[in-house]
Amino acid sequence: MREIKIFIIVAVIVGVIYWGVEPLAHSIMHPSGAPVDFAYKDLDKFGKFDISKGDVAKGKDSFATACASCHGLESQGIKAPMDDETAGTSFGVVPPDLSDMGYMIDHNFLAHFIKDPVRAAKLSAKFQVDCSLDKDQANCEKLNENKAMFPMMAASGLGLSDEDVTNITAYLVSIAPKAMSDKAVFINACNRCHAVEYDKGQYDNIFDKNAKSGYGDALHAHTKAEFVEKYLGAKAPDLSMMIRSRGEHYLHDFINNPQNVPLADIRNAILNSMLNEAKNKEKDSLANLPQEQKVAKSKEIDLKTIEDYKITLPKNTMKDEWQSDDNYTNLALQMGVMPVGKSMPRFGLNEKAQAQVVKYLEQVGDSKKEQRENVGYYLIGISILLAIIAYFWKLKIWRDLH
Amino acid sequence: MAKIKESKNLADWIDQRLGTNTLTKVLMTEYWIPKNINWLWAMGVVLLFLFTMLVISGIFLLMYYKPDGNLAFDAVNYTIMQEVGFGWVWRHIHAVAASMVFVIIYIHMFVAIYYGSYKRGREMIWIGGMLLFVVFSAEAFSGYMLPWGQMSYWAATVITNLFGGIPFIGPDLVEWIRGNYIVEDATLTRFFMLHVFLLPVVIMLLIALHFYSLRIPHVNNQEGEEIDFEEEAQKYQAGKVKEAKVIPFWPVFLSKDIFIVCLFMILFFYLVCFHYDFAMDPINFDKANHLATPTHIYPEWYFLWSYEVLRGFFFSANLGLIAFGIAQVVFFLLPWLDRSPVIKPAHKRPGFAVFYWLLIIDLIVLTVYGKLPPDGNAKYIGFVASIGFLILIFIVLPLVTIAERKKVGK
Repeated sequence: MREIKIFIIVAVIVGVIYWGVEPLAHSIMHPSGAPVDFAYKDLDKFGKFDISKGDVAKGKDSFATACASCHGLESQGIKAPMDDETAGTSFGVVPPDLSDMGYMIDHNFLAHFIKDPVRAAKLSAKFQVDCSLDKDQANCEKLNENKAMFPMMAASGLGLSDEDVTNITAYLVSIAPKAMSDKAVFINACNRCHAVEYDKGQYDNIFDKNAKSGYGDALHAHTKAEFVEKYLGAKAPDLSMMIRSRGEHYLHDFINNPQNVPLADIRNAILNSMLNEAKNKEKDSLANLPQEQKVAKSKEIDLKTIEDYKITLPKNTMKDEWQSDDNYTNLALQMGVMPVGKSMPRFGLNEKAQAQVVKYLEQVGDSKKEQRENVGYYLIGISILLAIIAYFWKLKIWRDLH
Repeated sequence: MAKIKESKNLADWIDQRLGTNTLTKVLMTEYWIPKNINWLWAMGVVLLFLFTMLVISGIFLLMYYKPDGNLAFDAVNYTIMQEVGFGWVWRHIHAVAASMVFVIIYIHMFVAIYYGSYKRGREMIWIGGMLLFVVFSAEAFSGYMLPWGQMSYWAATVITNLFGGIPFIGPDLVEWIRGNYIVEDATLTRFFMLHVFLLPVVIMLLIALHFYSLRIPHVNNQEGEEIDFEEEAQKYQAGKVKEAKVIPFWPVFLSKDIFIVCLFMILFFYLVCFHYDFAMDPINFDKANHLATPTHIYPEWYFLWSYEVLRGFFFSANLGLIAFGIAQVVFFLLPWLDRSPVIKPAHKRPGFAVFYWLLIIDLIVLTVYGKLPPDGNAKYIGFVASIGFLILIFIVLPLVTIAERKKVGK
């Protein structure tokens, strides 16, 4: 009995420490963002598309005039107009071949991407959005100031109507393959910017039964790292070990929306902006004071906090109905203070394709997972067996001692 | 020269030349351990099991590891983890055992404190154990650098930087330890040397010392009872095994320990194969990059309490460093900070029990807050817990034990 009592005490102490340094610490260090959204509902307010009503033949024509000058469509025999090097130099990034987009990308997202790529990709922190879609155009223009043009033009710039966009999307959907391997999805979705040095072709047979595995060149990125850095502000990391360094859960949230920052950070950004505004207002009221007093007062003002001004978050009236009350994304965007997540664009993968990407990363970064679990059962089984034998041996030896 | 007779068998042949029968008696069958013990007395053998696992897995890892700033990360994460057959087993065993060693060391240590097994003749056992703790810490720290991931790199940067706070020689010392202005290839190779050669050799010597230091004062028991080991051994050998208060190390004591090691193995291999993140921080699967500091830098969990003592004095880096330095060595002084001659478990020493459980709670708070970012209230809690640690050790412990000494009238 005493032995068990001691065990319980030790287990509770170890358990509390474990809870503190693992789950508790992780929940504090990585606060949660908005839930994953594969319907891309945030785009609904910029128009609704019903792809099933699209005219494939018309879409094909529109594609030839509006898209083919930059994009290839290899499955239809349309080659990319430039090689990787030239395209990278002129656009900053190699434009993707669009043959598989209808398979990988959510159809609604795809249409919205053609309509306004910057908004769909959530790159408005760096690039100009199409303000013709915005209710408050003046504010939109203001937020666009000093930002670069996105390499791909919005639909309005190409003279495409919503109907044209629907048709092009329907065309891309109609030519899309019905099935793709995990690696093929990865190559199309991620490999333009990201390398996977640990994939040297040794798993090809696992991804595709008809392929041959073998050690060859590693999977390098199509776009040069310097180009990506210039284009998006950061080098795209090698993804070989992402499954171990980030984990499936994080990747699931992150790939769906690289701008999925913690909701608390968004609220803090709004509060800080309100605080700065209040400070500046108070400083403006000092204009008539003598210089010395002005400097002293300004210093005082700089030290003030949110509590001093009694600043509280406004009611979340701008949120979309599907957003939670503590999700202030829309207001932060409107104010131009939305915290920037990673430099990566939102790619709009559908749930299935995203799962394939994660599976690919698991195969190349944690290739022994299955073996590890099998071996685990054996090792635990052997230990249990040994423990049983050891227990009876101990009983035998101690029998006469008490 | 001894008289060599014709030998009856191989064992006899060896015994005549090496005295193995006597050696077995001295080390095993006539090495006496108290009978009145519980499973906590098995932690030493569990540690031996873990150390053996570390050495064996370490040897296998050494066959493919490359101590080079450009090659180390891929050697570990690509070659060992994915290309070498069952390489991952050895790495996971090595990482999980390194973390579990500290779980068991802490249990072992606080069992000794609970039962008063560090004083009145047992000081050398305690000091040997503390030396092992310190060298194991250095071994863990140097080993953590070898995968050359982000946390390897930045933990190395932060910890080597601490030496910069030492007056006069600090900055030069940091450079000397790193072998460069920043943590770099030279740092990696010298920590590799420490990890695979110098420190393991020192650990093995200290383990021998630790075992040897048990011989004269003997192992303590559950009630702190003073046992006449010779008299009890005679009883045992005379067949009065029920009455005797001692048991031989082999096979009686070890039969219990081996059972507990087997139970421990179940947990251990579960952690190795299914639940290893606590010992293999995901962030360390990002390659070391001296241009990108991770958002949160923290040491492995077993250093968190002393790291929090360092951070706890958030208003003064120097005070923090001094407190940290004290925390690292203060447990060496425990036999002398305890002013009472009483050897009993804490639940029979009311004043001491209060100290003991407050210390445990304080160390848990320090450990948990040592990982959390020091914002808001966290830094004040850290400060109170750091001060609390020093007060408990330097004021509460001497006071309650002096009171106890007066009560028993010695």
